[in-house]
Amino acid sequence: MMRNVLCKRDEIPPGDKKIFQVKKTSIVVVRKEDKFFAIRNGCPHQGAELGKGSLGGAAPPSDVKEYCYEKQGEVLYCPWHHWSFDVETGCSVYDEKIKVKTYDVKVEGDDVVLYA
Amino acid sequence: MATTIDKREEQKTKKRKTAVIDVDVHPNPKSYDDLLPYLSDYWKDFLTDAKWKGVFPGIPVMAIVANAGHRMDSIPPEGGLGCSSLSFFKEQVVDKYNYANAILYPDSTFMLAASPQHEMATAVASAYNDWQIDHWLSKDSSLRGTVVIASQDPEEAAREIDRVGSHPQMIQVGLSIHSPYGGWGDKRYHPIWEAAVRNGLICTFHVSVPGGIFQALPVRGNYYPETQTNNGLTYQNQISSIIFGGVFEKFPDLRMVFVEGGFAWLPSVMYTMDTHWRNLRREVPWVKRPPSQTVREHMWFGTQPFIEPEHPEDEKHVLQIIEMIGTNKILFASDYPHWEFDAPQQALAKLPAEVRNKILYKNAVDLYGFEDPMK
Repeated sequence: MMRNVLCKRDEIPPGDKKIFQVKKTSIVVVRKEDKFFAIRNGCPHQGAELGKGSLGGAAPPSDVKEYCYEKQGEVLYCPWHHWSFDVETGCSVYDEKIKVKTYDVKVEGDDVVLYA
Repeated sequence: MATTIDKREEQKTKKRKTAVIDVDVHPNPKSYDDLLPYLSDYWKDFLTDAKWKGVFPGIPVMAIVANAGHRMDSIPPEGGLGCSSLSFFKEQVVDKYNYANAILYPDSTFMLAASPQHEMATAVASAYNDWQIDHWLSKDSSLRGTVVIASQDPEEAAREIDRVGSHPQMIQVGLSIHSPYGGWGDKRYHPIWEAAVRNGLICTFHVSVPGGIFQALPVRGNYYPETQTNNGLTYQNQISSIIFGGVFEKFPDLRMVFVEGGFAWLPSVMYTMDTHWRNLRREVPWVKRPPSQTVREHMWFGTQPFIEPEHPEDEKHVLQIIEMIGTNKILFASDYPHWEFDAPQQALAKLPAEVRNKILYKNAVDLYGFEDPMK
């Protein structure tokens, strides 16, 4: 497991995301308030860069004509076909069998550090 | 000895003509005056003064060059409209093709919901139901009936389903493929589905014609063959509306049959719905199962008009399409006395016997709970 310093903490404001190249792998780091998440920057559907999509919440299965909305800021929507992934688990919101690799990311001092 | 008897029995079975269950037959009154006894004095006078002829004023009807829509030989010897005599229907169809059962859907009533005059349509729907019970169902126990409703007023329609839906021979609720307002997936129609489930009835959609408050989907055709071809498009539109409207999530016991719109287009709709559902579930989070799975669990399709490719080498694709949908999902429908009538054995002659028999009666036995006519 290699320690990779990605950037300073304040370079990713709360509610934002940033793409990093770590060796051969492109990774998106997402910040929600003071929590950081890291997920592979590739959609398992057709390979679009998830980091170019949008952050939002999830609308889980609900009763007919009703909406619930949860996990705001922790769901990454693919820029192409809007497949959506939980940035904490990497799982597709609607199909847990579909998963994107996630990474261990920490704030150490002022640095955002990724272990991969 | 036992072997000989078995062989004889086997031969007998082989010779036995396959039974048919027809899910789409359209009885007519001898004349529309036959419906008057089933109307209140108010509506009797109203319709008489409006010179009612079975078609509501203000609904443009497409010119049908094929004998105005009826088989030329379907007029009973004593006169009247096509399929207006039970005995002639039996002679011309039931006995000839070895029908075990037939499901009636009173002719033209698929246009009732096109009337902007809701109260009139509701009264006429109710008259058709009482007429159907008195003139057809009570005279032959092999027949099953359709609860006619005026779906432009869903609450009144639900009351009508509760009024006659418990009749032991009523087996389904009749709807048109055009919906009066919005698509069939719209929640305004929930009272109809709720009443159908409450009464243990299937909901059956029949081809209708744009006009009155029925909108053309997606465009109004100029010619009848064009319109006939477009029926399948209207069905696709409505199936998508029903699936994404979450109708089966709300009413998990509801089952639907679609007749006279064919079925060959279905695989395309199923898989296209799956694609867009996967991408855009955020907007329809109540649709919890893949649309193609819901279609296979809740929907059945009539054969007629059976597709007949021009080139013989294309025939094999018809069977492939049936297999893609499921050989248990297709039901034989003749559409008698309409001009596009399909003769059961002849229309399905090119299918393998096993598939043909499922379509001719087995699938209807499983769906509607008929007694197996070949046992």
